[in-house]
Amino acid sequence: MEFKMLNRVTALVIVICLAAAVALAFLRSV
Amino acid sequence: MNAARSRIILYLAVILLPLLVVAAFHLKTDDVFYYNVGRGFAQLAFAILIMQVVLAARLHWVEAPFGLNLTFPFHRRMGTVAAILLILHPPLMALGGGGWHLLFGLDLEWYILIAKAALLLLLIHVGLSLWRARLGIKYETWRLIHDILAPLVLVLVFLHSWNASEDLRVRPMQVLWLVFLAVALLLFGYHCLVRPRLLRDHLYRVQEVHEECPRVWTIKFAPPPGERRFDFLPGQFQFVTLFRGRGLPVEEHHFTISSSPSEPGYHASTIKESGDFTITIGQTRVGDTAAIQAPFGRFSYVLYPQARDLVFIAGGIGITPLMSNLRHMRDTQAERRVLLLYSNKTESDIVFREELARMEEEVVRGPKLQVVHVLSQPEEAWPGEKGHLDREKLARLCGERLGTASFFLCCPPPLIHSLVPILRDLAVADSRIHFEYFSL
Repeated sequence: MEFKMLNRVTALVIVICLAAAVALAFLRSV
Repeated sequence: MNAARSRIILYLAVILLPLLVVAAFHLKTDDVFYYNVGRGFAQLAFAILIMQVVLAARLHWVEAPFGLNLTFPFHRRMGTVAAILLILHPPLMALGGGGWHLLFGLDLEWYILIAKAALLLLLIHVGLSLWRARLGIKYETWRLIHDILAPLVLVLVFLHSWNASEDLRVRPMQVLWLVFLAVALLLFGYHCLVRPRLLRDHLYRVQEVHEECPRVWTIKFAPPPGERRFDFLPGQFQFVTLFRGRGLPVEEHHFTISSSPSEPGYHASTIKESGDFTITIGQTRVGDTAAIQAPFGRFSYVLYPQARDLVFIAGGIGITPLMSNLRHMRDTQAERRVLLLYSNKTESDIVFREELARMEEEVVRGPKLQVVHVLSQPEEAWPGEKGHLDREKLARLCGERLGTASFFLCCPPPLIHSLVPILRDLAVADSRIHFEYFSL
């Protein structure tokens, strides 16, 4: 069903963005 | 699916672009971890806000693989995500050494103060969008506020980051920020100002106004002289701005197309008098004109060619996209087996009753249609199904089709919310459930 895809995509986008921001912050701080 | 995947990857790439540019050109700082997390969140949020304009601009290339029914909810969700990232930005900066006066002080640089204003406006913006109906705000009022606040927030966030951020001292980031803002503002201007004007250069003409049953009207539109009608799939919808004069409102609304693309030379929407605008729909006259942007949506059996056995579930005026699908099946003699469960309050509320009865009886080739009317407030003498569509009725009326058929639902949201879990419970796979809300 289409709304399941929406939930998955939203979750995927949020996780990737947060992980990227935190990883970059770590790299900038060391 | 490939088209959808490519759009999602592109979306991710764009919103991650600021972080990638920082990683490539301005990685090393003297700042601590939390400060850098706060920075990254703000940069992500700005990119997400830019892409909000792209998602909302009804660009065919962007929305077609998903339909606006998914693109707009995604737009709403990402707006909330951006707001949360921006809420977290100041405390993380403060925690990382920026000082707590960033949050609570007022004797700050102007570009910090406008950031506070931008955050406040964004929270109002998101709150109104999420709770518009609950707050009792008219769609038109909300849209006006939305169209004012959106570019204002973007410009304020741009000015803040341009002046406050160390990362914006780097030329590639400056270029990226300017390109982001330019694309968003140009697209916003196109969506709100240019496209409406272009559509007015190709006005459709009201060809016929017909009362289907009490308070339900079918409006037929003829294309502009010398032009072809746009192509569409059965079950799609259109944005319509009617120009009727006579003091009647000029507002853009979306309506399902109830006719079939197989009917040449015109298309039609069947509209029920229900809201502030639609209450005037019966006052539309032949010769009135309309600016039309179409088609949108993916609520069409032709997108699921492998589905030969279908159950259509309609609530009230939700019959319209399903009627478009049925008319297309009839006209193209599509070999399908269709069970239509059509729920209304009373007999007089049933739209297209005679045409549906003819479809049931007349078709020799093409779809094999069976219609079951379900009335929640029937007359005593009503011989058919009574009450609401519930688990017992679905199980009994669908029978063995539960294991094989594809289900298409177009009903008011509360009915969809009650029926979808029942269908799942009756072992209908999610991949066989398709639904369309009345509103976006």
